[in-house]
Order: sequence, then structure tokens, then C-alpha cells
Amino acid sequence: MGKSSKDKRDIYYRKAKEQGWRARSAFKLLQIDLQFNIFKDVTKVVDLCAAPGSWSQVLSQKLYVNDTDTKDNVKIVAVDLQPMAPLPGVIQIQGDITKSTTIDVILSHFNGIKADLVICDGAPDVIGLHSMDIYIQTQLVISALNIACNVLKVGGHFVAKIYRGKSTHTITKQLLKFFKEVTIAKPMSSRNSSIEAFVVCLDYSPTGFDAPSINSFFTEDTVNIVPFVACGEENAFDSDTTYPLQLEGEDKYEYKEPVQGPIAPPYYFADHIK
Amino acid sequence: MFAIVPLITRTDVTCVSFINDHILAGIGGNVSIFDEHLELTKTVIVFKGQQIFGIVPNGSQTKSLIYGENQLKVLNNLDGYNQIAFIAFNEWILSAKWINLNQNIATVSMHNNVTLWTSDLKVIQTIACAERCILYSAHLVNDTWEDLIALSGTVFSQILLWCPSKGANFSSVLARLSGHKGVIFAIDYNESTGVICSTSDDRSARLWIPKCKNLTSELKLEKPEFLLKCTMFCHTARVFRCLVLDDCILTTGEDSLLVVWSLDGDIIRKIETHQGASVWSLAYNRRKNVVMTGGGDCGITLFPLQQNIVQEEVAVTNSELLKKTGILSNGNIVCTSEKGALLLYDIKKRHWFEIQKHEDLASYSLLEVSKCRNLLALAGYCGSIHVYKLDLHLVHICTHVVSSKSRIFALHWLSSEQFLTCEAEGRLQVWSIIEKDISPKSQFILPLSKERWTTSSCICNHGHIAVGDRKGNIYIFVSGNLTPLQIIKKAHNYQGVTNLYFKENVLVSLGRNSTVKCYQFYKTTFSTLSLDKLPFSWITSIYEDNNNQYLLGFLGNEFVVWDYKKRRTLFQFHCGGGHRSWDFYKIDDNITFAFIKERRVNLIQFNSNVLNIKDLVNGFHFNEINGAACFPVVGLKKTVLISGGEDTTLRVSIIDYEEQPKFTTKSVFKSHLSSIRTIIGCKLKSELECEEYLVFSAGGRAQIILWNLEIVTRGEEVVPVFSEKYSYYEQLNDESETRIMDLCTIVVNACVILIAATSNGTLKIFWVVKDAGDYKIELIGDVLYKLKCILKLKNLTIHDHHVVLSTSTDGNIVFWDFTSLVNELLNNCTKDVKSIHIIKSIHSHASGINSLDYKILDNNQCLVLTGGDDNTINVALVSFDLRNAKLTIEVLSTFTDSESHCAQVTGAFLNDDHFVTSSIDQKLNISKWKVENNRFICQYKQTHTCNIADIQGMQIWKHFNILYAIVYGKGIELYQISETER
Repeated sequence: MGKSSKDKRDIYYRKAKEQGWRARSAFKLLQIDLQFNIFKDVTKVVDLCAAPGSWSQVLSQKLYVNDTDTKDNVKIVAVDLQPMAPLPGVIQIQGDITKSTTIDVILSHFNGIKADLVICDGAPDVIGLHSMDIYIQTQLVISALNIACNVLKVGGHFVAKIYRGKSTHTITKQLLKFFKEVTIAKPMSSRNSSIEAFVVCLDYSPTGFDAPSINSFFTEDTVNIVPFVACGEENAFDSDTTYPLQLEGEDKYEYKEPVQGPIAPPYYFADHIK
Repeated sequence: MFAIVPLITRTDVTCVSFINDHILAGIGGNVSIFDEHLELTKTVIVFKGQQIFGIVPNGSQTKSLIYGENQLKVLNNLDGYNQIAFIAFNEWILSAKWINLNQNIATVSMHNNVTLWTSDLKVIQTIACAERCILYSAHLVNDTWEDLIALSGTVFSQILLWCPSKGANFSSVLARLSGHKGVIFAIDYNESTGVICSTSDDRSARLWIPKCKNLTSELKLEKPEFLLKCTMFCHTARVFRCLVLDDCILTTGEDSLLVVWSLDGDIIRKIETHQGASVWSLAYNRRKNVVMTGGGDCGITLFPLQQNIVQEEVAVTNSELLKKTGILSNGNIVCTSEKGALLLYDIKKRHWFEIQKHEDLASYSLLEVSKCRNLLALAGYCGSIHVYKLDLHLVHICTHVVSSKSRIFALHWLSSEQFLTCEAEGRLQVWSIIEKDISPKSQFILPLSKERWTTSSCICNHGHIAVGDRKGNIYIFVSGNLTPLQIIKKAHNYQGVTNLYFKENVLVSLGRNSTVKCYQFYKTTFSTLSLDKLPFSWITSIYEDNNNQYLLGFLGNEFVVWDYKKRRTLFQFHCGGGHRSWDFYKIDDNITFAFIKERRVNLIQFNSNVLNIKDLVNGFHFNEINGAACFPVVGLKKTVLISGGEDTTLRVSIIDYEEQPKFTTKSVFKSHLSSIRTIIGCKLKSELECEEYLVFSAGGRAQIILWNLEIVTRGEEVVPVFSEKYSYYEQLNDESETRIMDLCTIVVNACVILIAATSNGTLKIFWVVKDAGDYKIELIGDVLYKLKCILKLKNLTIHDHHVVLSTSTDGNIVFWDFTSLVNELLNNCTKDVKSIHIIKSIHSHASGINSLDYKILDNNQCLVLTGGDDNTINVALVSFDLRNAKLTIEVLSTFTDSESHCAQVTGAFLNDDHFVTSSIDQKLNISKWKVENNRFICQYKQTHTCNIADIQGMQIWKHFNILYAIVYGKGIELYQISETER
């Protein structure tokens, strides 16, 4: 396979490199914003599971607008277990989002002021058993929700990646306890063939003292109550379509290297393997 | 109401267990029970779609605790596994154990909590570990609550050791095992040796030992200490399971390998288990000496663990240097030495004897044992040939010197009476053994070549003799002709032909280029029948034994025994490589592998049981199934299923739902270059006892393959004859990444038009051409829809118009008019795709439409059922009208249901009065429908939870007036659907 074969298979992978994004997932957040306008009046954001940093890139592009007043107010805190290459205007925390100490560190950056938006594009390495992969992803979303409940201002928003499957409704049911409006969004840049989708939760309005429950199995009632929205520009690229490398009206196609290679490759111990 | 009865479930085997004389396997939410004869006797539906991760018998093996995800159930082993107790808990269970003399159960959850239960699953208490984190694995040690130790494998590469009884609500961590660099997937502990094994994302398995060799005592110390005994690398992917036995360690995982390690961390053995798919479950039975694995290919495999392999170097008393070796029928070993001696090693007496000294064999000798192993031929540098025979002892029969005095380059036994020699200048001589002498028979000449000598030979039928040479050619000679009748040039590569066999009219050749070739004799010549590529290059011989066919060969420095039917390595042993004299022979149950290494003879002996690997459940697709086509057999309660998917294989299976449902895969085809996305069939003829279909499969790299399927029935037996006819693949200058997403055919008067939906937004239109009994696919042209991936296709005929329905990622259903093209084809006019046009486009989903079906009603109305990526089911009632001979389509009403599914709807089926949908949410929904006042009304709905994850599609057919449905995705499940009284 040539090095351009992934460019052919995946238009967003190619466009991300051309437009300077660290990962194709940048387009997902941009398309979610297009539909929900999640960055409106937002200055303080927590980006969970941020590596390699494409969502933080989107945040810094959207929040640091020319207006100096708002510029000074902007605070973007990116959290990940893995180290991440630095990004200007983004505060980085290396930590585990399931730990309470991490919440304290995040809060310490806001000086008592709360965040307007919490986003999470994290996913564990899939094992290959759907039941377990979806459950673990759900646990990650609940960890993210737990942080959101600690740092979000009333009326703030929360966006997180989920895997749709037999237990989608259990997570949406949880989220409805904390947010007035919960939607499952599928950006055009997320493949039709993928089980990935995003929960977009608007208007944080905690009603009681309930903390998010980690043990979210399990209601027998399986009716789907959350609306589904596909989002993207009218003429957005379709991530399942095989596009020609040379698109009409574009500059001559040239292969481009990825914007930011991984800085901590997961298998640095692979030297031991013969 | 409907009764939805699952008949067959094939998916990931997530748990295997030996209980009493039975084997229990967790397949989806079902437990399959096999008796002592390894026959499937019963399938118990334990959970509704929750995968089973544990089957734990109590001490007396009278009860079994089954757990899966958040569910727990206790079954009675003594009365056919009926339910004793059940609970849906609120945590994911990772591990469980019967404790307190079977009065209680203890479980560990993914949130690092240990729960104490009564034996009928009432919670007594839950103790949380002070360290709050997500676990991927856990293991419980000891048999009482007081002594219970939990070993928790965290997502952050540590193993936490804690005692749940040492705490009121929270219990602190007593020790940590750190060193892994990734998620801990499995932990096991062996009481008698004190060894803890952990496996991880980091590809390693590690062995840990408590300093005092006993885990319980060590944890009672103020500062418990654990030593990392060794770190074991061998797996090439994540290691998911491990077992610590008394004398060895077993590990297995994502790379499908089962590795047997010594307690010191040395590799004893590697076994390929599940076609490259992950191994999810592992169990061992000491009494039976059997290891069992369950895998991601839906299969279960059993094999003996203890091999009792004995390796010895048998030193020659006078330390002569050995050159060649062979094994006689009585098991004794014969060797020739550097000095020209023929030596015999008596295996029972463990003693060397010098049989004879042949000065003419000094420094160069050949030694070949006949196929019956009772004859031995030696040959030398100056044309001498010596023949020995084994009666009671090994006795010399005769010696002969060829007239040319040429070096004998090679000697091959053709039978127990005949052998062939190769002299200089390619002179070949066949010899017969008559009484106590050998006499020359036919002579042949090898054509001129650089390395003009033979490497193998065998007798074929019609007096033909096949000879293979050092350059990879095969020559066919016949008695009376010096020159070859036929030359099969470059049968193998420049490294030569290694062996030749003739069996059942087929000539088989082996080579050093990883290939096995078969040739069939037809009229006057041999022509290639098949070519098979193996995972090791140096293939040397075929060894047959009780219906099993083993291929012997070399992989690097290792000798390999490979199961030809199951396509896996059974035995691998370091010997130094293929450049040596060696022999392999089985007497009774004992197998001997003799080889020369450093001028000495080495023997490896083991019980033939070692090669006895049994598949309790045969493997199936080892990745997602994307497409399937069903062909119900006329007159029999059987269906031929052709399936394909991400693993690029196409499989032909027979589903038998006569009484005890059975599923058998008959053949596997690896013709596709990339993943298969869709399979469709098109009936050619249907006669009594034989139906014939054209089958099309397509997918990645825009490849389409045309197959012929004949279903022949002989009484109760069904024989599917499936053969590849044509492969359509556009070899563009750069590799095409276009995928074919779906296919449909329009068949008019034996004229077949094939339409392919592609990921680049075009419909590709083909014509299936019958050409002298063979079929071809010819491209007529492309029609661009728009730059949106087209997902599904169907065609219908209405008002004498040929209409194709397509759906795509933009959420539209598009109706295409193919009428003109069809008419042009029928009238042999110019074929032009320009006439194809869109009649109507209906926007029915927010994003991609993943399933499509339709039903034509009276009054030229039609219902179109679609299921989407947006979790929604949509039914459009449309009417078709002819206006000025032009077909028009009007939408009368639409029905939308976005509540029944909470994930992509990937299966849709519509018939006379009900419709069925399936989704990635593992729900199969079935509803009654009717149309009133041009409105579609859904009457009631029933839901069944499937065991198949990631459902990609569904096929439904009626057979003997019963509705059968299969869903496919990560596995396959068959249901019988019948309507019952309300």
C-alpha cells in the first residue's frame, strides 16, 4: 500500500493534515458546534482525554478571537494520561480523569470560577468484545460527567464521545438527570459504519445532591428517548465516501505528513519483542 | 404475539469450563453443554444477550455459578442445569469464587469492590477497595471469607493485593505488583507453587513470587514483599488470559497463540489456536491432560498439554562422525558415517552396532529407507549401490556398481520393489529388486540444466514416472522413452522440488517456496489443479496417519509438523534447519524424529497424542460478517448459507433445522483481496435434486467475484458445489480504495444485469456474459449519483418498468429507471448507461440508510422500509403511476419510529403482514402492520435480544411455511419465528 492510500480512504484524515489539525476528530467538534453553537459566550473550557490535542486546537482557534477583553478571560485546560505536545494558550495537565486529585488540579486553574464547557473525546483501547468495550467507554463518560458536575457552571454544556450499542439508553438516562437537553449527535466526519457518536448535553442544571452513579446498568425500560441529530455543513464531506485524491477546484494534491506524530508511542517497550 | 426461538448461536466463546465429565462453554448468553463423548447435548439460555464471562462450579460440582456482565445465575448441575437463583446486579463482575464450604459466593467487580453473597445470590455485604479505580481483571484466592485475598488488575498497570474481610466498608491495599506498562488483562495464582502470573496490554506475562513462597502468609507480614521472577515476551499482541499450573504457565490472547512456558519463563511450546482471532477463554483439566480454548472465531479447541517429549543425543561409542540417518520399521535408527560405516542404533537395547564398513562410502554416501521401511539403499561417489533388508536383523542383500562408475547424485524409492538413481549427465535408472539382486529397468535422461540432478520421484498411473529436479521443474517419463513426455517448467522456484506424491489420480508436488501444487492427469498431460501457499517456506513431505494429513517442513531453524486440514502448526522443534539428514516415523503411539546435527544423531520422541488437536466447535469467521445469502434447499429442512466479511473469507455452510439444529461449514474460499461487504444469489435453474445459482460477492478494492453454486441433494444429504467463475477487479495504476457496498441483479429472459453500489457515489452497471459455458462480468458503464457513499440496493418491477432503489449516507432513497437499458440489452442494441435516470428521491433519514426492503401492494402502491444510522425506522407508502408512458412516483404517507432502537438499524424485512428490524443495539423487533386510508399502521411490537454484537444485517426466508431469520455481525444467530395466539 502506498502512503497515500489512507488519504484516499479517508477524506477527513487528508483534510486534517492539509488544514493543520493534529487529528481528523477536529472536524467532529467543529461540526457539533455548527449544529449546537456550543462555543457561544464560552471562555472557560476543560478538554478531557485531550491527546493528541485536536479538540484543544479547535478550542484555541474558536475562543481566542481578536477582542482583547475576551482573550484575557479565555482559559483552556487540557487533561490527558498521556503527555501531549504543547499548544499555545492551552494549559496542560497530565492526569487520570477517574481520580479526585485530578479534579482538584483542574479546579485550581479556575480560581473559584466555574467552566462554561466540558468536552471529552476519550476512548479506551478497544479489546474487541463489544459488550466490554461499550461498558468501559460508558465508565469513561461517567468519569467525565463527574468532573463536569464539579467544574461546570449552571447552564454550562458537556460534550462526550459514546459508543452506541445495547446500553446507549442507560447513559442518556443518567445525563438527563443533570442537563435540560440531551442529544445524540453524529457529525458527518464520523463514519456511518462506526458505532461512535457524541452526547451533546446543554444547560447544566443539577437538581439534587446526586453524584453521577458509576453503576449505570440497568433499566428494563429500553425505549430510546433521546433525539438523534446528524451534523455538518450542507456540503460537508462524507466520511464513508471514497473521494478522488484530486478534487475539483482544489490545489494540486500533494501527500502531507501528519501534523503531530505521537510523542509517547504506546509500545516503546517493543524492543524486547523478537 | 410471536414466538422467537433461537436455534443456532455462533459468536465469541467468552468462557469455557470443565465440570464433572462435561464441558460447558459460554457463547453469548447461552451455555452449550458437551458430554464426555464431546457431543453437544444441550444449550441453556442463561442470559438475555449478556455475554458469559465465568462458569464456576462449587466444590462438589453440584452447582454452577454463571456470570456475565452484571448478571449472575446459579444452575443445578444435577438436574439438567436448571436455574436455582438469578440476579441482575449493578456492577460488572470480573471474577467469582465459591467460599465458606460452598455456603457463600464472593465476586470482584470492575469497580474494585468485593461482594459476599449467599449461595442463592442474596447480597450479604460489599467491601470496596480503598483504591478506587477501574479493573480489567481480578482473581480471588483462598476458600473462606476471613482469608479471602483479592488480586485486582488495574487499568493503570498495577496488581493490587487486598483482603476484603479486613475492613468495615473500605479495605486498604496490602501490596502492589508494579512493572507492567499497560492494562492488566488477566491474573492467576497457583497455591502449591506460590506463583502469580499477570498478563497485560504490554504484550508480556510476568511471574511474581511472595518472598516467603506463600501468598497468605506474606500478606500477614507487616511489609509483604514480592519478587518479579521473570518477564515473558513471546506474544505479538495483547495477552488476554493466563493459567498457572503446577509445572507450567499457559498464556494466550489477541495473537491467537497459546504459549506454554516453564516456571522459569522459557518457552516450551507455541500453538496456533483460532485462525488469528483473539482467544477469549482458557481452561485446563489435569485428569484428562487437556487444555481448552475458546476464541473470537466462534470455535472451541481441545488439545493435550503434557507432551512428554524426550530429546536425546545418542552418542556413537567410537565417536564416529555421522552423515545420514533413517528410521527402520522396527524403530531402530540407521546411519552412515564419514568413514563409510553403516551403523545401527537399537532403540530398545540403547546400543550402537556396526553393520558393515563400506570403504566406497567414505566421505560421500546416500542413505534412503524404502516406504515400507524394511529396505535400505546406500550409494556412493563411485557408482556403488548397496541394498539391505530388515528381516530379524538388518542383512545385506546385494551390492552393485553402475557401469559408468559415476557418482550417484540421488536415489529415490518408488515402491518397496523399485528405486530410481540419478548419475552424472542426468542419467536416470530405475532398478528392481528381484530375489537377492537388483536389475536395471527403464532409463531416462534429464534435460540439460545447470544443476542436473533429481530431488524426488514417484510412480504415477499409466506407467508414468514423475521426477522433480533441483531447479524446480517436474518431468514426466514413460518406460521406453529416454526423454520426458512432459515437462512442467518452474513447478516450484529455483530452490527445487522437494517431494512428489501420487494419490487418487492426483500428482502432488512440494517445494521450498511455501507451495503445495496438485496436478490432474487429463487425456495425455498433467495440468495444474490447485496451488496452496503455506506459512513456512521449506516443505519437505506429507505424513498421513488415521485420516490426518500432516505436512512436515522447516521454518528457519525449526522442524514443523503442520496439520493440513486445520491449517495450523501442531509441533515445532529446534533442530538447526532443513539442510540435514533426518527422518520422521510413528510406531504405535510413539513418534520419532531423528536428525543429524553437528555430525551426531539426535532423537526426539513423543506420544502421537501430542498431534491430536480436536475442535469441539469448528471455527467460523474470525471477524465481523458483513454479508450473507441464504439458499433454502428444496424438499429438505436445510439451508445453504454463504457468508463473507472483514476476514476476507467466503464460507459455504449448511444450516440444518430438521430436529437438533446443526451448523456446518463445508468450505472456505480466500479469493477476495480485501473485506467482503455483500453477497447475493440469483437462481439459474431448479430441478429435482439439483438447484443452480449464480452468486456474486463484492467488497473492498472494488472487487466482484462471480461464483457458481449447485446444490445437489442425495436423500437427506446436501452437497453444495461452489466454484469461482470470474473475478472482476480493475487493476488501476494506483490501488483502488473504492469499496463495493451492495449489489443487485435484474434478470430478464436469462439476461443478467448486475448493479454495484460503490463508496465513491456511483452505480456500476455490468452485464453477465455467458461465454462457452463460462461466465464473465463486463462493465457497461458508471452512473454517478453524487459524492455520497451508496449503501444499499434493491430492484423492483412495476408497470413493466425496471426500477432500482438505492440508499446512501445522505439519508435519501433514490428510485432509478433502468427500463431503457434493459430493453436495449434484450434487443442487442448499443448498450448505453445514459438512459438511466432518477425518477424520485425521498429524504427519509438524518444520515446513512443501512437497511432497505420493500413490498409491492395492490393498486401499484409500494411500501419502502428503511432503517438508518439515526436509530430510526422509516416506512414510506409510495404510489407508481404511468403518465405519458413515463413512470412517476408519489409519496402518499410516511411512518417513522425513532424509539424502538437506540443504535444503527442495520436489518430490515417486510412481508405480507409484518416487518422485522435488527440493530447494533442487539434488538430484533417484530411488528404487525396494515395500511388503512393510505396510512401505514404498526399494530404491536415484540422485542427479542440477540447474542450477536455489531449486527451488520439480517436475512429472513420462509421454508416449509415457517419463518427463519439470521442476524450476522460478530457471529451469526438463527431464529425460528412463528406467530402465536394473542
